[in-house]
Amino acid sequence: MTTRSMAFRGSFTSREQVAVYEFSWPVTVVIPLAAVFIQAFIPVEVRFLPVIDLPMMVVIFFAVARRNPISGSITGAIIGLMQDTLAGPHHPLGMYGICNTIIGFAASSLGVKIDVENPGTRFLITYIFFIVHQGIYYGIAHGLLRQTAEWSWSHVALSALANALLALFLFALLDKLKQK
Amino acid sequence: METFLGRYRNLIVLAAILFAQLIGLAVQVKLPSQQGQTRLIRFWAVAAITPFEKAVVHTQNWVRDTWRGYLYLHGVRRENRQLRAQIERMKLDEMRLNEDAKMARRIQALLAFKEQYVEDTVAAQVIGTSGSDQSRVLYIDKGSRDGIKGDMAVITPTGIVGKVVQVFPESSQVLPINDQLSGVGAALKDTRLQGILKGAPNGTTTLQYVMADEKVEPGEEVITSGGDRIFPKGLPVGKVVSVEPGKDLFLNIRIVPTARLDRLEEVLVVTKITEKPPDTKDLGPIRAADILAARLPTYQTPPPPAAMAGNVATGVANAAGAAGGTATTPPAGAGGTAARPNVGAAGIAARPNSGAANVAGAAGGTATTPAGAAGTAARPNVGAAGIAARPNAGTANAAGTTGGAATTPTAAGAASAAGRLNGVGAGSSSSTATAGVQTRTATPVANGVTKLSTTTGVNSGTRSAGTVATPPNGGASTQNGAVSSNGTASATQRNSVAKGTSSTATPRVQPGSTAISAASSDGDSAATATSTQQRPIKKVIVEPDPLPVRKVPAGTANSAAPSNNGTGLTPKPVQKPPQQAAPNPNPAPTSQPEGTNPQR
Repeated sequence: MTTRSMAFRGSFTSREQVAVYEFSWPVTVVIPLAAVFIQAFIPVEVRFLPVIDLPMMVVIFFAVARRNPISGSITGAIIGLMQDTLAGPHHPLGMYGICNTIIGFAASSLGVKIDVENPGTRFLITYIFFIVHQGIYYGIAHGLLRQTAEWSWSHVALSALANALLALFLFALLDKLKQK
Repeated sequence: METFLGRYRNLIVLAAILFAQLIGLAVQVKLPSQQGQTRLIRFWAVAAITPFEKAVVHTQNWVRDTWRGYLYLHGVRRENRQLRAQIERMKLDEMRLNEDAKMARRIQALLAFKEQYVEDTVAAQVIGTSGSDQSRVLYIDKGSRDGIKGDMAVITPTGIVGKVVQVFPESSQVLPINDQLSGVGAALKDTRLQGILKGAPNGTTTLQYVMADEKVEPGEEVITSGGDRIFPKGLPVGKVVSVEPGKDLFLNIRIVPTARLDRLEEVLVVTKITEKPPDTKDLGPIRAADILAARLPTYQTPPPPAAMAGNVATGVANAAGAAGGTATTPPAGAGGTAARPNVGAAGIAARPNSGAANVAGAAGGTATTPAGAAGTAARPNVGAAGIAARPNAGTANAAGTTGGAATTPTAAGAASAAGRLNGVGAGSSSSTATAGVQTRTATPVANGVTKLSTTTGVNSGTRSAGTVATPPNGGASTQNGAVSSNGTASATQRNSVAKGTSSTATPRVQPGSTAISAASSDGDSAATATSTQQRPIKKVIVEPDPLPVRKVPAGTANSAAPSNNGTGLTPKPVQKPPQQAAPNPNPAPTSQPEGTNPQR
């Protein structure tokens, strides 16, 4: 169990110091794998689950908990690439990898500056990051790869809402795995 | 420099990671065919995750099967009863469709069509998905070890699902038809318009490349066209739900797949498709008459006045047979004359496969066009009459049998049983299974006069020929009854005649009219039939015909039809004058089961 506190000059939190959490290696390995597995398996039974992006939530959680942009970027890249491998032969490896890398970096950078323990903050950053995630994906698919992609604000907004609500419960669950 | 690296270390790492992935992305996009390393990564990922998915799915299925199969059995008996009833209905439908299918196969054979058959399939279970909203690929639990290969079609009993795109040893990846990268050759079932079924990013499917000036109605079914060489032709795809003008002069036809793509559990992978001509072995020889019937135009003549007026429903052969008149071919029948060789005396039906054949036969008319035969009438104690429309037509027997009743009582002499090479005794029913038995009993009365009584059993069990037809003129009353499936009659038509299918067919024969059956091709002599009454009669007095009458295997049409044996040969006739028939020990004709016919 490791607890570190770091003082940041540019923090927007009222605290003088923000806690930096670490995780045991089984948690670091199993949670992302489980997220990818559930993401691939559950939609067979639950038809609406594809709008939920569990791997992205895990990336956000680890990133804001560790508050380390490099760690967040690497975590995002690994989880995103794992997600890419299951997404079909016509889905080039790296699309989710790039998205989650950026999300991981941004989340950890944001976690340094704001208090992400608050449920309201968690809801908000998940909501925003999901939209960013979708935007990056759309940009890669449409701009770089010239794939047929559709952008629907209503669909993205509702999906972001669902993800943000689910993230509140998921983050509360994963908080128990933190090592403080 | 160190300060710069230290200060922007995070961004530099981020840029490096992104750059590496972008390079990898660019390599994949640039060289899509060289996926060696990518393939390996995918292989590892899938191989790592497949066992867990399989374990979860199998555990879940075990629990569910145990619950549903052993514990939760509420309503199973009721469902079982419903299913049994459904099976019965489907059996009847199958019999009807078999007849149509046989004819279709014959015609296909004539035209040297080749069909694609799904010969072998492998059942697989859906164990995973891509997990993203952008890609809709599925994972199934069968791979190369089970014989799965790329580009194999994946279907369900309700419709197509997609095709196999990647194969792993223990699993495979399926690209469903609603994926935006999918494309399936499809056609509209009714209008036969062809297009390409493509998925959309939002998961919908559209039929593309159908010209805007075509008329497509919502609700029309879509089937595979076979043009993609992956899906065999004719598999159900979906239904049209909306039609809108699209871009570039094409319609935008939205399709709802018949397979529940969002809730797939088990699928079939088509591992072998064969292409061969339709199997017509069991259909008997293809007759020249069939060829002619299929290719030559038929001259339509209005029904003669002798044709019965009461028959209005199907019109054609119904009226012909019932009245002993003709449908489309030269007027014949009890009141007319069969002008053609190979045309039976009493009534000629218009077309092969005509549903009217029932009643055509029923009136002692012939069933189908080519070579209709007359019903065997004048012979006492011979039940089977009517004409087999086609070889092996064992079904619609009610027609034929009843037909004997119609013709005979009105024919003083006899309608020849000849006429047709391979037609004996059975009328072809376009509806469902009907079989009947007509036994005719000749009772010598006096002075060589024979009193004919008719006992007709109509083997019902279906809704068509077995329906009750009550001639309005009183003389005849038809009863049907449920009959065993082997054609044993249990219903009785006493002393008479007519029956119809959906319409009431009242056989009426013009008094004094004569039907002369033309000589059959095998040299049978003609028979003269003279109607003596205008209405169905209860008892008919028939003078023995000095001419020998050809004996037809009597009893049920079931027994008559197989006598063709698909060979196109008429059973050897037995010359036997009617007066030599054994008198019926039963003066009052009653319903008799097939096996109890004293003449048998």
